[in-house]
Amino acid sequence: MDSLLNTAPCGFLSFSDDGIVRAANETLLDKLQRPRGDVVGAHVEKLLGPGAKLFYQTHFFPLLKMQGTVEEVYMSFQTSAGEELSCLVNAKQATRDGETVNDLVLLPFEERDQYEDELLQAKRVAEQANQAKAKFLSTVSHELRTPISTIKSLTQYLTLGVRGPLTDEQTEYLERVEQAADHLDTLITDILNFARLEAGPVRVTPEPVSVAEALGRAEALLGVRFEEAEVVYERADVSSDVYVRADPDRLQQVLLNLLTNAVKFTEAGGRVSTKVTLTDDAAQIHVQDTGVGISVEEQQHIFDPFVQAGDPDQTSSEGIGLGLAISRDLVEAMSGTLTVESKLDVGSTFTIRLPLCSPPESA
Amino acid sequence: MPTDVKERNNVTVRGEGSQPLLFAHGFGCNQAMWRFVAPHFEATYRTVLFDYVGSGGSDLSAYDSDRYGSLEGYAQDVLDICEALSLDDVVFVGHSVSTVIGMLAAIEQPQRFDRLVLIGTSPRYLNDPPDYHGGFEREDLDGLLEMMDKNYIGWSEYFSSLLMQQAEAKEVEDELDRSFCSTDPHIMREFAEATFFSDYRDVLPDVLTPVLLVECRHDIIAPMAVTRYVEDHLPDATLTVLDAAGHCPHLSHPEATKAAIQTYLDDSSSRSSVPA
Repeated sequence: MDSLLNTAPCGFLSFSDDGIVRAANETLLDKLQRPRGDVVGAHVEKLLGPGAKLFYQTHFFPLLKMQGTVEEVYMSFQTSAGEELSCLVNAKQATRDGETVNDLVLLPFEERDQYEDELLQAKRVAEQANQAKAKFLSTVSHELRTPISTIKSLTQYLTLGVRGPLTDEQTEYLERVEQAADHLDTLITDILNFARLEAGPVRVTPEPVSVAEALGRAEALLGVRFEEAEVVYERADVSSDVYVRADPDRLQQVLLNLLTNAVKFTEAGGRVSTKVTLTDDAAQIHVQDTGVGISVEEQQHIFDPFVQAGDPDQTSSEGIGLGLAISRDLVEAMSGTLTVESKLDVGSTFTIRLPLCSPPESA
Repeated sequence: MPTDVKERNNVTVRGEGSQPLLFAHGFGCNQAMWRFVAPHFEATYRTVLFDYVGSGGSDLSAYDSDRYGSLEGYAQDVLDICEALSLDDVVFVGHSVSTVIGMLAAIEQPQRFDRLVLIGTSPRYLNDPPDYHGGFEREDLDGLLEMMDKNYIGWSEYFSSLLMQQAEAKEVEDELDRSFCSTDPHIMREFAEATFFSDYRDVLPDVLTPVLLVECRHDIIAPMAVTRYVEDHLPDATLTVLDAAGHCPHLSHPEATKAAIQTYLDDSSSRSSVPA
């Protein structure tokens, strides 16, 4: 057994709470290029590089004392030549000969260490790029908003006939300019919302929200759009005492987004409906359409930012593909889920699942 | 004054006594690190434990890089807790970076503090040749940051799985362990920078509250040369050197640490002359 301990392809190290090394196996001594007399009886810090000494005192040792074990911790040791020996360390506290000792298994991992360095570097670069992107989006959006305000206010000014009477055709053109500016404004709001979500955790203030009321409010805002698109709307039959724990404004935003999408992707003569089903602890609000549907492949990415269902070459649909990304972030911030089921040419069903709760006391 | 300080800083109050003993953890840890020491004082003191914002079970959403970019922000956590719990005549027990945080709090509001017990004190970790030997060069601290980065890649998951296991165990005693370290690498990195790149040597003479320095015979993070420096520059300091090695005697040598604190607290002549 002693022979196995000495020749096993990993390092064994044992030290007291004072840090004095009581035992080390041959494999470790060999890796550290140190004679036994140089290690046993010395302080464990002698085997660590300067950064690792700090890490040992601020993280490793406290963790070991608190939990009794430490698993899969990266720590770099130092050879007698001053070279780094990167190790994956598992440790366990034990009592031997009446003394508390800390037993460590060290697995040197040079190649994997390189991969991890590369991963870490890639992660840093990705984080920086992501921050730069969010900042860029935010800046660009703010910059775009100013000229749009000018376009809108001057268009309204002209429409009022302040600079002289307009022909019907001119009035119609100005209305279209204003509609286009409104649309641009909505897109920019989406980008800003998204940039804000990217910048940090979503702040929501959950409270009991009546599902029937939430649906009613969203429908009232969208009624005209259903008529314009010649899409039949069927509303959910939901009892007024069904309450979910949600942020009312955020839920409204998500419902509006899902219903707008449903109208957008449904041809005239089609149907959009809402349905509410209940489980023991959650309410599920389904928004269903008889629209173009989303392929299984596209369903994988439908909640990613800047992705929109449909032919990428088709530019007819509105939006830039941020609505669903924002909606999912919001629902998840309210401890819920947002999922999709869809079949091409049959239609899609988006389901918001939120925790049920009791009505507010005043209700 | 935010009303949810107790929740924000995950404050735990225990003990039968009236005088508060406020325990402040060090960098990389949380209030659980006091578990071998704090219960000893519950019979005669009101023990107050907490996590700094960004550490342990604190409210991470309260973290603000500007505020916590320097140790003054953490000292404000201490003062917020004193205010929220109406603590006066406080005995502050701080470890490692909390030694400086405690001194900053006591300078800001000396009337609140009776005495400071500081374990492993260093007002500056970097060397400043030729006269000051903090123990570390800047690249050593970069080495620490790199090691933290590498470990935090996997630690978030590691700790959350640990939390699950402990939650399942439902041991009341284990409750403190549930979030041993902060799992947010960004916050820990900023805390490390605020801690290890700071220099608070110039505040030492302003600490009018009596101080007990508890130091280990061999501590690379707060070497004896630094201890002597601190002792020389504090107006009212008592030094107790434990026959121990390491930076966390309250974990490795809890009996000796308790005895050192108890002896100091029992010595009424060590009390503050500043009226509470």
